[in-house]
Amino acid sequence: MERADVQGLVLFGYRQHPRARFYLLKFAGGNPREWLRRALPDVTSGAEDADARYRFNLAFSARGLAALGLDADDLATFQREFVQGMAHPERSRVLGDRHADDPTRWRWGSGDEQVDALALLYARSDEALQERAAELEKSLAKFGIGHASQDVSLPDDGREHFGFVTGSCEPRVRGAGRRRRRGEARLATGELVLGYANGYGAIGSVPSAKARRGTREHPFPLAGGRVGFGHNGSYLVARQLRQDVAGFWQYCWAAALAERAPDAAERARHIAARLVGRWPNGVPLVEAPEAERAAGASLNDFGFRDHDPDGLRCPFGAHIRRANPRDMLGESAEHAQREANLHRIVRRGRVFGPKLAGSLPPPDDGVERGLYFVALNADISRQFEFIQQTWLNGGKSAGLSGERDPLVGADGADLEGAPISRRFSVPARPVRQRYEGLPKVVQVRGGEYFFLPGMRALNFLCDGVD
Amino acid sequence: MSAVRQQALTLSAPVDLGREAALDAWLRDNEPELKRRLSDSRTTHFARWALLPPTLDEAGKPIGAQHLLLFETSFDGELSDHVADLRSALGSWLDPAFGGVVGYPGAENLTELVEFFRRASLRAASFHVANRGLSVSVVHGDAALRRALEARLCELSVGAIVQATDAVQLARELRQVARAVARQNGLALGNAHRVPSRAAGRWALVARPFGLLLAFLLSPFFEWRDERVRRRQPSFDTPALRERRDHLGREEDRFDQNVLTELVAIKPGWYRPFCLKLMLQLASALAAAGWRGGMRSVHFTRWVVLPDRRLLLSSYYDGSWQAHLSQLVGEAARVMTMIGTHTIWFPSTRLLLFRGARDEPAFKAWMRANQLPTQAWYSAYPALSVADVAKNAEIRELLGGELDAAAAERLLALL
Repeated sequence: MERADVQGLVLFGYRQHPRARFYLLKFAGGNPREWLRRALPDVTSGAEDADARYRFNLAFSARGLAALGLDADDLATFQREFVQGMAHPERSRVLGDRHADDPTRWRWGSGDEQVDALALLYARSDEALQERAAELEKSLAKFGIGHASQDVSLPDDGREHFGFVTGSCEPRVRGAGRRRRRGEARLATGELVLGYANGYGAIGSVPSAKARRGTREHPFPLAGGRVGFGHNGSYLVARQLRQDVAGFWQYCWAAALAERAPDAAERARHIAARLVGRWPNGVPLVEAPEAERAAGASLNDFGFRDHDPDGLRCPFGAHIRRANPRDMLGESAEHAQREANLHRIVRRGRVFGPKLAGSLPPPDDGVERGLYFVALNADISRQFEFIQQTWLNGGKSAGLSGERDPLVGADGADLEGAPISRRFSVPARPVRQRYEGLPKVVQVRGGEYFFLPGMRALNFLCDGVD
Repeated sequence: MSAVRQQALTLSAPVDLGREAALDAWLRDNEPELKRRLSDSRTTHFARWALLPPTLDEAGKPIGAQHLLLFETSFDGELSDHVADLRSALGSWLDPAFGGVVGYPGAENLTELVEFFRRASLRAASFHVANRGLSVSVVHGDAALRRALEARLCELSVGAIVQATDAVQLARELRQVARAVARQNGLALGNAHRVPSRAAGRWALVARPFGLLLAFLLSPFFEWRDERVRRRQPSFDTPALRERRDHLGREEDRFDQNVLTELVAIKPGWYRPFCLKLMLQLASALAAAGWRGGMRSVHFTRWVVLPDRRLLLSSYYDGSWQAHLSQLVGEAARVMTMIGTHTIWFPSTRLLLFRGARDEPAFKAWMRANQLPTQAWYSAYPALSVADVAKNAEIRELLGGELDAAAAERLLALL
């Protein structure tokens, strides 16, 4: 992988820079090309020094690239999902964005609130973030670029808002320059970055653009006066997800009471762990099905096929089992893992909003909090959308019937489109337990598909003339 | 009620020139009503109407001058009974659903109608049935049985937990519920509907070794020729095809089940249809021998070689197009390659079996380029997956047998 030509976010999660601000940019009425020209030296590449005080990356929606001079022929070389945008009705159908998640109810990404670019600024501390953000906002104002921003962070205790340790199962991408940790899936470079062999051993389609006069360094010249604009780029998926933390724990608490459990708090935590597939400290249920135990060296070194073929330890419908079935869905463990690796993403999400404090079950404080989901992949349809549509929202996934992911699953609908009750089955002896009427605890508040160009491609966007 | 044989009806008939647009519009507009009426059919599992336009051959010339109407069903029993059942279910909607089809005699005279269906039908070179022996009424009965058992478990629950400790006792209690439901639905508990695996398919594997050997010996020649043609061929990613791809994207993934209609020209040469049929027989034999690669979520699928040297694939599958195609690439790439290599635009192959469909982007592009819109289609059980149908049937079978500890445990694991 040409690490100097990919943006740093492709390779790093910026754990040394826990504070961040994500900017949604609107170019209308401004001079985005000139702004980009000035901002370019600040963009972090994959070859940056780890001690830098800030990190800064830029991704563009299809309309943003159009505003920067890519024409319809150029855009037709990008993936159809990206060109349509996440709020397109066809994408909504695939993603299950209906009812409460319908794009007409989003805060950004649809209707008049469509955005042109996503700027991601990371810093080591709040003070450093404020300082750098002030400079960035000044520069945006100078070039007439509208923006809305959201402060996000890596949680101090490593736990997302529901209270579970997060980020335990990232895949390792070949060529990303870090050692593989135990249990990590190995992904081909082309599963993350365009222009390299993917999991099938083939090089997927790379977007191209017409060459421009006056450009100092073209990204990958092609025949016919075009350039391989997409080389070393990646598709970036952003979704702002609101989490109803109080609703989640209140449901688990009520379910524990309904079962007449002697220790309702302990039972509520057990029910929550089954919905997630891990205990709050990240230990997978496959390894500790009945009670939380101290986390070992790796939280990612396990499979389902040998340890839990019947789902008696970790339910088939649990979030982690749906989002990554590992070695389960195939003729053999190797085959299943190989197939699962064709549908992986690299996550770069951060949380927003304050933690909800209080004893179990916590009261609703009315404050908005959640996850700013950011994921990178080379094929939106085969990777992100497949996970969402087939694994998380697939009513028939893993032999289940009429169930969706208990955390992030879409509202189910009957054949007439009317919503149906959300339920969750826990395999047990002598017969399964079944939780009915699960609340919708994650709601989409905005989202868009972006393209994260390589460094030379960024230069191409603001350099030269058409 | 005993096991039935599910059969494929594949009718292909030309549509009068100039009337195809009206038929297209009528079928699209009236799909909901066709579905509603077909739900009264006792014999139809799935049905579709699709207009097959003249498509291009390898030289870029159109094949045929007229559109063909493809009407296909997967049905129970004998053709004459099925046609009578369709006529009764569709009533006055049968005639407009075949408006402009050359030779269509009208619904009035049943004998003529059956004769037309028989005459215009094509034999499927390969027909895959996921759950053999299960008639439409048995599938519905099994689903009702399962719903009743689930409801009983709900009654026995405190919170999410069913108040039972002994598997055999619980299973026997459920059997009481099942007997009442079975009586209401005319369903026999037990395995009366199971069809033994067909052994004939295995014979087909070994019965034509000479043909297969010949096909493999010829393969280097095929591939040398294909590469030469490929260098001259323009890309099939034209604006018209892109538009059709967008249209297909808008139409699919509305339900848990989806429909696929593919039509592609066979490459020139007398040996191509011969080799193709041989490969399709091999695929059928593999399926009959129990191989389910890429087909685990497919209810029914058929391959038909049309008389005008085009290959038709029509199937009904669970889940999304993307998931289905990924399953084909992951589990059935070699079978898809040995069939697809005899059709135009297929990704380049080696020794009939290698590369081809393993080139995932090229294979998916090929599938999309040859996919046609399906104007109207029907499923008798749109909320049931292949796995659901099989699971429900197994529940019924277990309930009809002796409920010892192992059977009771298995039964309860299915609920």
